[in-house]
Amino acid sequence: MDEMKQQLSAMMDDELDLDANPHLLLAATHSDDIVKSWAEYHLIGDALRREAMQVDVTARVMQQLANEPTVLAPPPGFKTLSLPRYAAAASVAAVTLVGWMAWHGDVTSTPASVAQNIAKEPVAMTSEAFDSYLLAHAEYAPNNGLQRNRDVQLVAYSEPQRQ
Amino acid sequence: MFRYFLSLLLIVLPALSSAADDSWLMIEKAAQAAHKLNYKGVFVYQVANSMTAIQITHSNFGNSGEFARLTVLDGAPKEVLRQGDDSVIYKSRSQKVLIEKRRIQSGFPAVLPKITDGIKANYQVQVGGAERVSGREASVVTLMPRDKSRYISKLWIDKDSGLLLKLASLNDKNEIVEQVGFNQLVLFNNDNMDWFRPNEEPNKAYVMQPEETVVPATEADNWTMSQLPQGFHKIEQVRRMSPFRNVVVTHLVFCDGLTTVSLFFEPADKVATRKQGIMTQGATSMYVTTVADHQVVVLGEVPPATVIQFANAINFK
Repeated sequence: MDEMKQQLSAMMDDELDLDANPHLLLAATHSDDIVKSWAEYHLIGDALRREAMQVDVTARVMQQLANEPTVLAPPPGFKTLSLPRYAAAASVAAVTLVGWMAWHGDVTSTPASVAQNIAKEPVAMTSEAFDSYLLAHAEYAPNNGLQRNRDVQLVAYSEPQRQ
Repeated sequence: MFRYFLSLLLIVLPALSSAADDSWLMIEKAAQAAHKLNYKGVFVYQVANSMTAIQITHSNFGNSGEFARLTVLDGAPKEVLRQGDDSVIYKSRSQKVLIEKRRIQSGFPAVLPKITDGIKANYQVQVGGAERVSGREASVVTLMPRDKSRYISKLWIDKDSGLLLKLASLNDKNEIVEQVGFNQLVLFNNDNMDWFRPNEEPNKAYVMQPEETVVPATEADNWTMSQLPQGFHKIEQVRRMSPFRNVVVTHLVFCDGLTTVSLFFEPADKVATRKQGIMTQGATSMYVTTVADHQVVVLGEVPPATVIQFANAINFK
């Protein structure tokens, strides 16, 4: 807990540039009073006063984050899975899942005219891939047309329900 | 007699068109209400055989913008905090919480489009009486597409607040393929923001997932599109990392005013690993195929035949 407080005071002293990333801070918000007041002051307060984050700073920090996964306040003794390893694990999973088809939605009754165009073999596309494309689709058509249930899909499907 | 009929027509026609105008206006107002009002409730998203209940709290502080928190009540714990145009997703795993930042700026009930000439050309609006949804009186409005290449959308709009209470996509047999609607809804009016924070899990590590980089696609590419389904136009064209692999893909977005379709393509892998097939999930169809050594993925809220039509429209030089 002390270590966390140190990190957080470093944050408050601007040694860690989390100012521009209220969501990171939110993530680190535990029951600690200091943190809470910090979060409230900076996130809610700023937002309400409309002095929120600077875009350029956000971009820079997000770039840093992209280069180096940030782990906030790992509990002592708990080994955090680093991102590269996680990514590797994910791609291995993807490889082994190729050919997988029994994905949680319906595989529709395909119209006959359509069926002719489709190879007999199953889609070598995982539900993870489907979800990834779905999210990419949702992100890139945000201002147009009916947004259907995009953020619902986002939460309902950004993590495949394979169980 | 004929004169009588003619004068009747003259009375009825303007009445009909003004009823349509009123309905478009109702949709426009519902779109605004979803952004402007403060509300909380639970809505249920139903697709295929699965049902997900989601709790929502939404506030608008005028110049400060919109805030929303969504909590998934079924299945794996997930939360979304939305502030302005940014959505941050918290996915709770056994020993950590993954944080993902996304650009999705709105969601149910703030899903209705701007009313444009495009939407009016491709859909006819019909008013269909009143129904009760989550204990509230709703007007039913149906958007009938000009052809079978898109779904019918049915909207239930709260008579009292103007808010969208329920939205369903129906196929040409009038069967619901996907729907989302409130089970509970209350409107509130205060400035308390205590709810705008994620559930805290002090014993877990919070891991930020990297964001994608996206650049506008350069023209003078080696592809052209021919014969799009009627009414669709290209509205966006970018290059991005493949949503799933470590390669650059081109992402095209098409819209008819209401419905959007994405087409992704990238150079195909060696023949052995090429993919082909179609799947649907509720109103979303996805078609994966290979065209002239390119892996093409088409995805959109359209019937399966339409995504195939899009894939068939792309040509590579």
